[in-house]
Amino acid sequence: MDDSSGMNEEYLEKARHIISEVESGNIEAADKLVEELSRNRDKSLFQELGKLTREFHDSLNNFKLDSKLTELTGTEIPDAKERLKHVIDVTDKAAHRTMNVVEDLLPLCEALDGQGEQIRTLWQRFMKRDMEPQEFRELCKEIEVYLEEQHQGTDRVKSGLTDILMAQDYQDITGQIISRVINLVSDLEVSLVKLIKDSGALMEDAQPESSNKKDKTALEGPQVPGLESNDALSGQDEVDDLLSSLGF
Amino acid sequence: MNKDMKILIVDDFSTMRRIIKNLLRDLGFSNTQEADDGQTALPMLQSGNFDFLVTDWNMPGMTGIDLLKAVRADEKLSTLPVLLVTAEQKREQIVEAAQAGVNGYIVKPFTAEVLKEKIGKIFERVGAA
Repeated sequence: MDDSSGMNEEYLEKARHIISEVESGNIEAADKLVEELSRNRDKSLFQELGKLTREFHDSLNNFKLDSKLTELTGTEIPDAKERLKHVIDVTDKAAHRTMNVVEDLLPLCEALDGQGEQIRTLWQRFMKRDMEPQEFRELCKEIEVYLEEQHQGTDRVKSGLTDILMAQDYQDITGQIISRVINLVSDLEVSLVKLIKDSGALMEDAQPESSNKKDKTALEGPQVPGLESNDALSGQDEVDDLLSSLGF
Repeated sequence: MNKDMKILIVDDFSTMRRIIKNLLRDLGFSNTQEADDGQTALPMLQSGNFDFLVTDWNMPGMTGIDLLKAVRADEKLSTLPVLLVTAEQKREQIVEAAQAGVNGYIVKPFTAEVLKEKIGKIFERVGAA
């Protein structure tokens, strides 16, 4: 304000001067004054332009300094991709480790169950006194063998269950990795919002392509609680209903 | 239902293939083979005399829906019973699968009972046809 009121004073004075020179017939002196005036105007225009250029340059530089975008896109996102791949690897390993144990122990349980069943049938006959002494002696031997196998089998089941338990440690590791990736995505969001704000005028014209244009047939994978698609069905029952309405 | 029937399990995740294989074995079907996407599965189907196809939808290479369409378009395979086991549960997708001629549709995660029920229904219908 001070600047412009100072300018106004100057203009006024010069204008009065010009009038008085014109009135007294000094056209040449008046011309000179007019020239001075316009030179002043150009000077302030250039000053303003210079100021704008400097501000623009500074804000560009500041943006570079402030922005984590370069860092995020340069190293952290590739990093995050590696980390997420690691999550797939770790969960894959845990699932297979668990299934190894299950596939190992199921036949064992079936075998023990089969033997037990056999002994139970013989035992029932013995209780009904439907058994020769010789056969009973054989049954006793069988029971002894079975008890031993049962004992060893239970040990294997116990150690298998412990192994399954230990295989669940992936949850801790993957939880930590995924939390870090979530943080990274939040950082990226903040940086992008800042970028959009800083280039606000430009972005106003470039409205995002309306998201309701989303391809209806695009695969979405598993539905996430709280983020379900509008046209996703909620589970097998609804899928069955839809299919039966289609004549299935 | 023939318990010796030859079944092809197609899924890009080996854990899911293994789960399905184990569940099928529990149901008495132990003649199974595996493929990790449609591209690998199709030639196996064309040369392997399979009786039943269980496939995921979303796989790299060739998706399950494209595999289903390829099966229906193949003269020799066109009547092969196909069960989709997938996490996709949007209305459009289920309609698309039905139109492509799927025989059953199971959404993940699923239970052994659902698998048993759907397989039973499929072969009941195939047997009646």
